[in-house]
Amino acid sequence: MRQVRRKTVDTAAKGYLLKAKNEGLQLSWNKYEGMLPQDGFSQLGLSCHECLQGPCRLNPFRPEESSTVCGLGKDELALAWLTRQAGENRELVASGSLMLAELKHSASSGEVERDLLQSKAAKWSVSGESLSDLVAGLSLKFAELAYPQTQRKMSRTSYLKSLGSQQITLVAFNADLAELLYGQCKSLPRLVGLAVLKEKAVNICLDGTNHSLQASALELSNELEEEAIQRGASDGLNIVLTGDFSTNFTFNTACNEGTTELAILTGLVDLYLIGDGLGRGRIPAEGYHTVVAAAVSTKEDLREVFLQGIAAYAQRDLRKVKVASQAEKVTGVYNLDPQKIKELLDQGLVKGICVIAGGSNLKLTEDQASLDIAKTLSHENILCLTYGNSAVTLAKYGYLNPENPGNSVLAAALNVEGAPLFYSVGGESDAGKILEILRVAGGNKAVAVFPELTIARDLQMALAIAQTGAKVYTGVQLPVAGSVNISEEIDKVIEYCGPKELTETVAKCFEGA
Amino acid sequence: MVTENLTQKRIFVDQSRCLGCKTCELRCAVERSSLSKSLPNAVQESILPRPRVYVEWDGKNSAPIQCRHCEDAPCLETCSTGAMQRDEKSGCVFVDGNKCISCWMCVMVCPYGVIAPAHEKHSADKCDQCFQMPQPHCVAACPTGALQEISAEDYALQLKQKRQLGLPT
Repeated sequence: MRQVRRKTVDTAAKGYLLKAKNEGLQLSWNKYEGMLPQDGFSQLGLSCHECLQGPCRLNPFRPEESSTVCGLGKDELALAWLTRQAGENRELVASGSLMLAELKHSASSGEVERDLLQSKAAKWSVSGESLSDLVAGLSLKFAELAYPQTQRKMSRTSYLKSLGSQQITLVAFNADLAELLYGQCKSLPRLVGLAVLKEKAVNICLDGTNHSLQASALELSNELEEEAIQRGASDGLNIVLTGDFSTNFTFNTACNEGTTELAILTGLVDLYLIGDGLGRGRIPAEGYHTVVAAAVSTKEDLREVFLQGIAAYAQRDLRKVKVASQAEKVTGVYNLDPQKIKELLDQGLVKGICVIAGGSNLKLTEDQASLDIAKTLSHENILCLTYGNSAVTLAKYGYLNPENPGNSVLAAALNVEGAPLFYSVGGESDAGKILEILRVAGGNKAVAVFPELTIARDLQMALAIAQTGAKVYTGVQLPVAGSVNISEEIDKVIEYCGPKELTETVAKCFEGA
Repeated sequence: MVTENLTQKRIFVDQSRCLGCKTCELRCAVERSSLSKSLPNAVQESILPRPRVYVEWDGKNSAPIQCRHCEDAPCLETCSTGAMQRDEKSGCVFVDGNKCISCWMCVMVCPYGVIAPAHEKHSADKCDQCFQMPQPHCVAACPTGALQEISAEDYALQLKQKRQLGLPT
């Protein structure tokens, strides 16, 4: 791997990167450098693969190439990419549909907590006499939320913001369905770090899997424990997440999205299950015993996959095992009161809100920007919020560790136990909580940063936060530069800042507040 | 006229590898013609950068075409101001924009049509094989290795070997 620049500031990475080099393994950074330069047309947003009359591209340096085969110009092409990303919700719809079917079954067999169902239904403006009426109402609501919006009389950026908000609302809806079905595990402490992978357990890594699959995984980990022990794994099955936390289950998290490969390089991952995640772990898995599988929709199919993982335990190459020793404690704060936050802002007891969010992007030095911003802001009188992969990133460096105290006065005002430096509202599926806080507390007092914006959900969240009036920044250039108009418009919604300027720019937003 | 020198390198194309992706055009424009030297910024410059290589398609194969730096260069012959010059070491023909009077005679006489009348620069514009740089940018950028900077002799040898092996040329 050429040292184009520092890959990550994660100190745990160095040993594993050397390990990969010694084992002759290519990692995602090798893949990235090997394909440079990446496709310039796509980078500019000037290519289109929608139909078989293409793929079309518009050469920005040849003015005579002004439109695609079907007549789309530069603006339309750049906008098409943004619209597609902002509206992407296949996984949400699939996951929500599964849960609604399960909820219907649970309601009919009386397995749903009535009060909670009524409360959730009321939240979504659904009313009904019986449990089945409420479930039916929630199903209709789901269909309404999932239905593609049309632009009507909105401006382009308003439409994009609206689309993004729609998907995050769907995320919040699904989170409520999950709470109805699987409960909420409260803000129980858990661990983050490669050390959560156990030597004597069948380690199963879940990357971007939905609530239903996680529920099935938990059940199977109990049902198949004996099977695992018989195969020599005295600690049974150990299910961990990558790049996420769960508010429904007490799974530990091995790593953020950017360092999933390091988890595989420990030689301890027996099954790597890829749902909606990027699946970077599949790259080094080729050189290990790790079974790589795509997420499945039924428990029966998942059982088969789990059995493969249990069988793989015996295939571990003990010479390749490198056990990590570091793990940080983490607490989440799942029920922040938006109204209370608004009061603190109005009284001037809190200067503002900073949200750090988004994935891990190997085009940058991973984790650096998040850390720099966290270091700069966490000891100021600013409410620092995070969730999902960003929360995992900050947790790795101790920002969610209750033993590293932050502002105790703020914590007391918010009725939060301990005084975390950063407040994590949960996993990726809890993104809606951030929006709720901003809508009530006032988005104009907030700044959101997506230092390593990576996937469609990140973009959707950025747009949704922008709709609340908050200032949104990102450290990753969106592929729309091929259109001057769209670049200018989107920059007013999500502003790009180079890595060297991002922290300072964000900090300046709170000066004089 | 330059004494024939087979060891001087030129840019050759392996057509079996050229996908017509035009990455060479983009890179050339950004690196040799833009102010910002960055793709996203280059496309927004007020004077649009101009590539000096042209990806052409004959209906079957594509290939980037650029100045061949002919040993007997018509553009060099016809240039009345001495703007068109040849670098002795590399043998590459380049334009000194300060001397060019934009008469476009070179544009007319080029047998390959790879000299462009760059009105925005008040000068003719063509590939100079990045002779002052370690490697031509198009060659460095080519994602498939279709573009190579090698001597004519070596290129002929490559072709011969491919034909002997029955490989596509």
